[in-house]
Amino acid sequence: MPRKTDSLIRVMKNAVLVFVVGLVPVGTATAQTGVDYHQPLSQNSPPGKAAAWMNHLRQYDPTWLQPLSVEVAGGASVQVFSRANHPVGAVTTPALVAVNVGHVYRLRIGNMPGFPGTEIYPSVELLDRLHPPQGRENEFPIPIIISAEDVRTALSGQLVTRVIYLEQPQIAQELDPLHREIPQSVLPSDNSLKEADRLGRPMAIIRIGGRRPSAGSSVSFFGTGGGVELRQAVTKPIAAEPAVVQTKRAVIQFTQ
Amino acid sequence: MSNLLKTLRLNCRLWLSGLCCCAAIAGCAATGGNAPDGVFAASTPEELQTEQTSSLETGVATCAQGEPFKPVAAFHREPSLTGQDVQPVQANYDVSESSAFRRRSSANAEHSRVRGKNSFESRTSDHIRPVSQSQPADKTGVATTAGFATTNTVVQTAGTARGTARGTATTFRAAEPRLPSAQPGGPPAASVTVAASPLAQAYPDEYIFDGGDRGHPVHYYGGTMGGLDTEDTVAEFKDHTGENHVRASNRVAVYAPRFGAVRTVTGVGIDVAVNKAAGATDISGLGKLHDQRGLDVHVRNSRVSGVGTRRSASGVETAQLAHLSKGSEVLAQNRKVEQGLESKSSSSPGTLERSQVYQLNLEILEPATSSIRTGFGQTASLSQATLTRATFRVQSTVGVEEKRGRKGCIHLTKEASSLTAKSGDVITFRIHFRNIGDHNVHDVRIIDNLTPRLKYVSGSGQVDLADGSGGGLSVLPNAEGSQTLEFTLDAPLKGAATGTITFQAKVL
Repeated sequence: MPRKTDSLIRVMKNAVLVFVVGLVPVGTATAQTGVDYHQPLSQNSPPGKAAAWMNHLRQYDPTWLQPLSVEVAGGASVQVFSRANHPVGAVTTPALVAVNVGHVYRLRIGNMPGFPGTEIYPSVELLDRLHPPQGRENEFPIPIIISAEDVRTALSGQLVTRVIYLEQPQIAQELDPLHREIPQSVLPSDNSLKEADRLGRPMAIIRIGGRRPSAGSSVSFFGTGGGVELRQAVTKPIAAEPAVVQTKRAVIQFTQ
Repeated sequence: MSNLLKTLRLNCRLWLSGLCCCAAIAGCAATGGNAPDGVFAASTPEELQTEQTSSLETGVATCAQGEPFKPVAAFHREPSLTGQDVQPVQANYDVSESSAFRRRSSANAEHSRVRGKNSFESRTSDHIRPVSQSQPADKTGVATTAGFATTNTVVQTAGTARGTARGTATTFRAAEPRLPSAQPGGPPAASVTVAASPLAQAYPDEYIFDGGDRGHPVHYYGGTMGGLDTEDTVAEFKDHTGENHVRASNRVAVYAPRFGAVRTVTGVGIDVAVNKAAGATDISGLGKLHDQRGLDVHVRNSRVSGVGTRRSASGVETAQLAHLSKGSEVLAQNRKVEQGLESKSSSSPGTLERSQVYQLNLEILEPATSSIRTGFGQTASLSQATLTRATFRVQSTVGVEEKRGRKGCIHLTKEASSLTAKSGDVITFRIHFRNIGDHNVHDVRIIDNLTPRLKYVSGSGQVDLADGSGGGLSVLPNAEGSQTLEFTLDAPLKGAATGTITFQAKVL
């Protein structure tokens, strides 16, 4: 009889364990349906961590290069670094750069007409990729847009973090969220990666700050070593207007 | 005295049951032993013909079915039994070549099992094939492609089989084999997605979809259309019996990814402000917030009381205070369960089941009512089956055949001028519609509920019909911030008639 009781308790414990384990995928499914969930990563995670996690989960094809469209207000020269203190190449914006998914890259942006003599070193962390029709990859790059307001904020010593996401078509807004000139901003205490995940599929994290490489900077400052290929530009240049004026126009458009 | 009354009652019951048994035996003998329990049995072609007519007259809708049918003028449906009343569960009936009806619920086997207790259902379950119209058109493969026999060799073969069946003693043919949803060279079915890349289904967030029937299928409940989600494109029409039908088009996937950005600015000044706002240390110094924490503790206690039950059941008796915060997780799980229940309750199976039972009642009630003109007959019985069969024989001798032909049904095919687009591009959509039946369809409305990424270009919509008649277009805002286009045809669409709707939409 005691043996039977012990075995019964054991079975019940196993049943409880199975039940608890079974709740895990339920939580994941709930997160996908819009219910609040825990996102362990955020914009404050160390650069490269989210990309490394995604690369580990998705096992991206290292031979696939995801095109990025680097656009700077008014045009600029762009140099791309990948775990080396010398650039892979230099292009002028709008530039089409193809890189590996799951890696971090460092850009050097200079020759900006609105900011003479200044350079910024934003980093691009690529989380996910697109799946366009074969042979038309360059027509659908992920936009890496750096506005004049971003440059101004970075030069003032602050850090601008943009999480680029692929919009969910069914919950799309009538205005283009990326080009409507009023970016969707969240408080620094909020998780912008989680917010981007709610609105769509996070594709890249851009960090624009005042950090500059020095002679003692390690190669990790320049990225994680993914492949880079410079391709021809296919996008139109965006207007070089002061950020303040853009904001005023955006307010007018938004209230309409 | 009471014992005497009880004995009398018992004797009466035995006598009545014996009488019923005799009647049952007589009924079986009259039907050739094939129709116990209220089965509508038939053994001659004339009987079969009238039985088929009776099934068509009981409000059963047939759409895009390749078999001609012969309504008998002596049977008329009640005006109240219109298609809208039984719309959630409509069924296509395909009569087999055998000498009795075949009934099989392909839409929901659960219904068959539940209704199998009814003698009507259980006995006739081998001879009529209803195809639920709530299914996508691809599941009624024969129905979808039957109207395009000129481009489909398989359908032509089915037509040959049909002719052979007509040549035999009975006018019924074997059920046509079900075909795949999209045959080479044939029109795309509703589930077919026309896309520039086969990965459209795997990565739908990179595409704009238009067409098909996304999410809950379009249905009627209480005379109101429901389930019309964004991206849906459906045709609503009535066949010549006045029954409502809804058919979805195929889907078109336009590769047009659009991006957004969530921006955060952090700096020295902002960090100070944020830390003060988010930090618990500074705020905890306020007395009011101390009170709030006390309230939180009360809330947790109430939650823990619910958790304690489970822990004692699992053998863990001691619930430590440190685990009190986990109470909210348990509550969150309960919340998930409630949502699951809500989604179940709002789903359509419940509605379908109720309506299907209602329609079953109609099917049972109507033959008895129209033939005997008496009120009984809602429950199948031996005597009812016998009487119904006899009445059908009489009707078969005086029945007047109408023009043969398939019920009218609209098939939609959607096309896009480009399968890739960027924001600002204008795409021209074309919707080809065709009545793949022989009878006219009435009150034709073709509805396109645009996705929020598409905006109708004003003045670009037009309807072209082969017979020269026209139609109207109304553009209505929908709940998602986009637009719903409703194309209405002015005249009934004749059998095999075709038309094209063209409109432009701007990609946002």
